[in-house]
Amino acid sequence: MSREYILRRFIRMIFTLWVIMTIIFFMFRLIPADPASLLIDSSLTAEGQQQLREFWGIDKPVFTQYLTYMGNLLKLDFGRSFFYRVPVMEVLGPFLRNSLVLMVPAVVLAIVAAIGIGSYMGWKRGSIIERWGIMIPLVLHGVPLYWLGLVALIIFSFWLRWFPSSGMRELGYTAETVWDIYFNIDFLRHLILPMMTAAIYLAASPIMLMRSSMIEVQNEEFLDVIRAKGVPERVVVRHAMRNALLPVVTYLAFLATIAVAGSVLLETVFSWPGIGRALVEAVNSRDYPLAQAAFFMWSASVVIMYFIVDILYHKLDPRISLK
Amino acid sequence: MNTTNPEGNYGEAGRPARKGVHASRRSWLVMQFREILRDGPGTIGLIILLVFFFIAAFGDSLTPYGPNDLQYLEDGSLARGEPPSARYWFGTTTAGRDVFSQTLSGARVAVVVGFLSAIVTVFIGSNVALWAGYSGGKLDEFLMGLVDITYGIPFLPFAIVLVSLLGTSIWNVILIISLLFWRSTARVIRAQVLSLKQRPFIWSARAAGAKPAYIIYRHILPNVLPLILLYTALAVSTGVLTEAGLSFLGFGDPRFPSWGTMLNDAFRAGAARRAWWWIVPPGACIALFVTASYMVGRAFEASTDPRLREYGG
Repeated sequence: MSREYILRRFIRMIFTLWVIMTIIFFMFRLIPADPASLLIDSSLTAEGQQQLREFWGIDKPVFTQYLTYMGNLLKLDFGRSFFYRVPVMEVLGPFLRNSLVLMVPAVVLAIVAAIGIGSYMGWKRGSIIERWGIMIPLVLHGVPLYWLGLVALIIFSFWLRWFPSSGMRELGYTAETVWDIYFNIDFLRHLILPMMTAAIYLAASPIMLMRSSMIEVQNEEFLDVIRAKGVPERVVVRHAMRNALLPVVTYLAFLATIAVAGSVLLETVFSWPGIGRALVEAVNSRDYPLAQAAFFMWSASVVIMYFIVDILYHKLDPRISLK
Repeated sequence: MNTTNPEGNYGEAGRPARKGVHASRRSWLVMQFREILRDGPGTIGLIILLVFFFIAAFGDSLTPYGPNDLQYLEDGSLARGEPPSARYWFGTTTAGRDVFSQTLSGARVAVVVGFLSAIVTVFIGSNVALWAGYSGGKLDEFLMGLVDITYGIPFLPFAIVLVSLLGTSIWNVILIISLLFWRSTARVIRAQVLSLKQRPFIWSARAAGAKPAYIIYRHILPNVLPLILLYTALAVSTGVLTEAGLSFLGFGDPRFPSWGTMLNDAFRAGAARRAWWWIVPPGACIALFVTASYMVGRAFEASTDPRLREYGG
């Protein structure tokens, strides 16, 4: 893979991000007939209204507004949150951290489990376990994530009383250090239910993908060559798995998109103080700078994820690196 | 999902369109239908969808009570959070409304949103794919760049922001879903068009002086129709799931309560603690609807790609 390709792909990523942020700019400004009436809520205090005007620069022409907006974006300056009254990045930092602590383990768990379960199912195609087991990801595929979360709450939180039902820590708790929030048993007890819900939900599609990819690889000749060498079957499986992984790698980027959408719903169900719930609340309270920043973070992470996966894919499969 | 099959078996549908194309297309549709019926899960899915259609069409006369009517017990008190019984099959909400009636009336939104958004999505997606794939060059680059951008937009946050700006109406929800989800249809069908373009029957059509639009709609479209049907089925499930998700977050159309709206009400009323029967039916209906359309889609897929016939159809 050439360095030139990576550079070209990088430029395309920046371009995509720029277009998305331009869409966001116009989305917030031009859709309502009179942006000022939407942005300047008369119920806000005079100070709030002034802040709004300053942030949006409504008095200036649209093009100037756009330039300021893009300039601020480059500096990651999203202005002040209307609701929290502090710079948006200060508010968003902890939210983002909380979301990552929840979603990253969930995605990793989902992928690892999906690779294991999916390749097992593909390899043992036609067995009883496979024939009935395939129903689980098939049904999970159609189950709404937040409903899965609600059912998990009903069973594990309210019937069995194993896990707390909401939040990240016990009520009334205030953290002294960042370290203190995440590294203790209480946090872990709050984490398990939403994380497992997300992991099970996210694993459904990659399981099916890995399974069908494994079925396809199963009949390839290189496996016969390996078998002919007389190596034990589990080594053959390992070789097959490595070759079956490609579609799952491509899927990773899409999984990130699903995880982003999922975090909005999941954090709402479990009252998890993450960026997803922050967006819903920001939109409801018309805290547009916050909503915009959250949106930017998501777009950026999704676009970067696609970039990484693309590069990874070319590295893993030399057959397509000619492009 | 294996949908690209360059050397694939196109069966009857793969014949280049000739005279009497309408007659053969009708028999082709019948064949597609038979194909679904040969596929076990496909048949089940189709039956479930038909049941939901029926409920959506005649829901008002099927519900035992009005979905928003307050229910009273024999002693005259409000039936708050009654567990399922012979009288209230799915129990009542904590506000005293019948869950069964609400569940039935939620089917209408699902059917309307699911199918309308699927039709618009697939209409945009397949037209983009046909023109991009067939024309190639600058147009292809531009349209595929657009697809790239839509993939970079996180759809639920995008939908939340847009719905809150445009107003929470069911038409806006359908519009937003269609605005984003044409991307997967476009990408997959374009790949198929690219391989079809290289086939002799397209060359001959071009040599005979056929205009691009004619070739695209007369010769290429019939060959990608099975894929279009598959993606319509998948788009139905995406549409229903997205609408339900938006409604669950409180961005649904208040005039047309859907299953997502029910779950939003239930969640906010703390039903997870007190009234599980309020939460289970709407979610199960979403799952059933989505899985059903997915199974119908798989049956279409199996009919395009015989290698995928794994249910022993």
